[in-house]
Amino acid sequence: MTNDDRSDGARPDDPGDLDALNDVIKRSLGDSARGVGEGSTDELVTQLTIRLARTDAHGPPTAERDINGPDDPRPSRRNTRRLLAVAAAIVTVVAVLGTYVLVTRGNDPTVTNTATDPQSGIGFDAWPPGWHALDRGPVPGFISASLAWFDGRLVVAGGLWVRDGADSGSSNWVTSQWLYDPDERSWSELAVPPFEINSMVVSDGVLVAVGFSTEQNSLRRADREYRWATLTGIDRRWVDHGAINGLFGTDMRPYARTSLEGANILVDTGEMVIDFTLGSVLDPARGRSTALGPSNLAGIPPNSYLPPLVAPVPLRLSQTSASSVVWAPVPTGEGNGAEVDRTPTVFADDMLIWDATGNRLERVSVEMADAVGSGTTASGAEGSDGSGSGAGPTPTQRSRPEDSALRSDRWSTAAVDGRVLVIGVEGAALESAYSIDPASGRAEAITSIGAMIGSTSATGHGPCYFARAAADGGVLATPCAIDGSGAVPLFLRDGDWSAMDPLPAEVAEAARVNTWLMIEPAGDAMVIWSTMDRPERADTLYVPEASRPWAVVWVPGPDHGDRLVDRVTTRSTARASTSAGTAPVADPESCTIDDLPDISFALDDRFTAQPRFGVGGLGDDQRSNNAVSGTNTVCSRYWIAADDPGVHVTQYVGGPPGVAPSSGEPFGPFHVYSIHEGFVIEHRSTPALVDWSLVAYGLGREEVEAVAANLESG
Amino acid sequence: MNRPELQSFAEQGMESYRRVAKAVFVYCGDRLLAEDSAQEAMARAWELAESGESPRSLEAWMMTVAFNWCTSQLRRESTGVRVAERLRGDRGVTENARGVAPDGDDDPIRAELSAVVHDAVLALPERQRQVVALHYLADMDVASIAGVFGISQGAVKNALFNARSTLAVTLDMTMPGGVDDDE
Repeated sequence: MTNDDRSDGARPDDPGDLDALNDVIKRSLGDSARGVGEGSTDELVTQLTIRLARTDAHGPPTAERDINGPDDPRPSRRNTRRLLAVAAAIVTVVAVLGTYVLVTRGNDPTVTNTATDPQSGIGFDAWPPGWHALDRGPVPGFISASLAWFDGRLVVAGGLWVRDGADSGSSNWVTSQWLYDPDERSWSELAVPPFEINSMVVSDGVLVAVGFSTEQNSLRRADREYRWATLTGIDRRWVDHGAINGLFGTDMRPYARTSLEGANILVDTGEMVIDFTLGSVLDPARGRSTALGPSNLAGIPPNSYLPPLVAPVPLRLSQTSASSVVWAPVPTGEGNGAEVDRTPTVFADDMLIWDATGNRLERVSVEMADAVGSGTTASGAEGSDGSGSGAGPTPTQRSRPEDSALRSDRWSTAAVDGRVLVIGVEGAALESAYSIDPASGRAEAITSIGAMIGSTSATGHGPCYFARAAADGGVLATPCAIDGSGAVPLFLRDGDWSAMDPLPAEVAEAARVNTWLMIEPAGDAMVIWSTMDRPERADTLYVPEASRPWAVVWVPGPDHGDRLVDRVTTRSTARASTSAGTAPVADPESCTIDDLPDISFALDDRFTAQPRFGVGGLGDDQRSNNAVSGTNTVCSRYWIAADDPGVHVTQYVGGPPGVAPSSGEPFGPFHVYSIHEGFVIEHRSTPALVDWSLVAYGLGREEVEAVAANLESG
Repeated sequence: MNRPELQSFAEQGMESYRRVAKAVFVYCGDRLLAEDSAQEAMARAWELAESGESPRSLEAWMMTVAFNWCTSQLRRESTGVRVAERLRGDRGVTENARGVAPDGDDDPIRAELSAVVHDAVLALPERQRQVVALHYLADMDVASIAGVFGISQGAVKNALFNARSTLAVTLDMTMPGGVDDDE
């Protein structure tokens, strides 16, 4: 119908009114639609090219780098989508009462059509609350896997499959990619991009994958050509965007808690994806990669660039509505292996903040807040010397946090409620934890993991945790199981840690084996995924038969949240050992089981039947051997539960203060902690093992008190 | 994919693309989604042309594809706030999602009227929105609209009549009865 049709059309009743109405409607809608579809032909061609490349079901994915025009024809699209996503995120936050979602989902616009939407009722959120062992189906155990929660399904890709325990040669990058559908509880294989996936992140509803070709199966980074690709939907094809333009070369070796060894560190800022390993900004909308800017990277030598802390938080910086916070202390070492221990602490340099586009950089000096609040509970657990933690600042202190324990890889980071949390996760660093406002750089001490589970030995052994941001406004820390303890996962919320339910029985054995763990938020749920270390390095000392990959899903619920933890000091007494006053008690080079005092009185019957000396099931007549360092620094004795070989109390005995014959390093005295079924037994030893105490931590006061009563009666 | 040929195809189809985009925009109220829909339709039209097929009316075919694609996207996102806000009829179209506002020298009353009318259209049932979009933005007659959506011409007329009735109330205008066959 045309205007003429309407004006000339004979109507039985007042055609003038009809024409007037039509004119108003047509003119108004025309005004409203003004500018829609008014882009240039070149822009249209570019968009058509991208669409055709993405949906071409008959040919190979087409590289976009050759077809993009000089300018993005849709500069405002991502902004608009982000606004919509933020609105969706706000609704979601209200629904789940989780402030953390603001942090992550503000950057994850897939919220409206994935299982992260509580209204959709799909995904892990539909599973019953609590832990669930996840059948890994066809996915092998491998190093450096990459997980992503995409379109309501779990994507697992990448990984180095090491054969025969070799470091190279017989190792291959896994080229397959799998999908787990929580609704169907089934696995399927997903098409892969034309390279081996190294890392993945979901950005603006698009799965972004970074990887490289390994034509010669080389494991050397310098031999790799890094590429990237995007997937707009599980039913679509990958679009290969070609080689990545980065600031840094590929010969450097990143090392970060935020990423597994060898994997690239990808952060979705809500605007772009930044690859902090290669120093590149990836623009999924354009299919372009540019070097991470700006030019004011002075002081960050590319070859020694070490980005150990990457935490995306909403932070207004200039005109952006989101940005990535990066704390990048410049290492003095080369950032690998043993040398990383010589790097400065996490607080050695300013915090670096990139804007959401990766083009603008600011430095923020981190200082302790003038008055540290009540959250200064890092000293909640007594320090190794019994005088309290040395990590906590005094109330009047106003200086850069100085924590020598927070070196190298002994800490983890998370972004919660717009703040950056630095959490010590291993060794002496367990006593340290800080919450930092990225806008002001003000830092406050918060409850450390050590305050929850107790400290570790001076030798650096003992509990180890892997912490990462998780859903529901908190941080999930899973035990590394480096001590084979089978400790329970912990959850940090509102500044305090609490223990979660123990892992499901199906994986309890395997979870005691030392492996790298990945934690991937999946809607409101969380997936913990073990990545197997090289066989010769996998710590299978305790439960060799359980050296198998595992995965679990945590589904929060009103009756299955984390549980309160109480700490009960059961005794602090002097008890003469059989060799009291006759130090040394135990020379780690020559000690025998007789050098370790009998603590069976403090344990129930299930433990007393099977004391075992040494590690890894060594016979009673065999010496202890520290499998991690390869040196003999402790004697240990295991009290194995008769009904469950995986449940045990570990009794360590260090030598007297002195010099270890083997290494020449000073050692002892120390106190150590072991954990069984969520309870921590603290053994504090003097050189002669005269004074010691037991401290029980556990799940709920009643349970703790029951254990305490048992210990007291002993 | 031959870029010169695609360029030529885009140049020839640019006007159709714009009409499709505008019509879908009236239907969905989201500029970006409308352009996405029109681009998707263009891409499918290109594939169709490459396969040697040619619909009787390429623009009508594109309208069908674009509206279907847009509807699919809207339904897919129906659990989000995006559609909920928009379809509440409470001026749910954000400024970013709205088309470019009338020029600054335009009558502000006209601009306000434009917003009122579009919001009223967005509050209509889906079928009525579709019909209104094609009728007023794409200047399509009843038969063509029926062809696009695969419905009877009578259904189109009813939808158009009902839409006009609703809009007339909104605009406080007298609604003449009936829809002529020549529409």
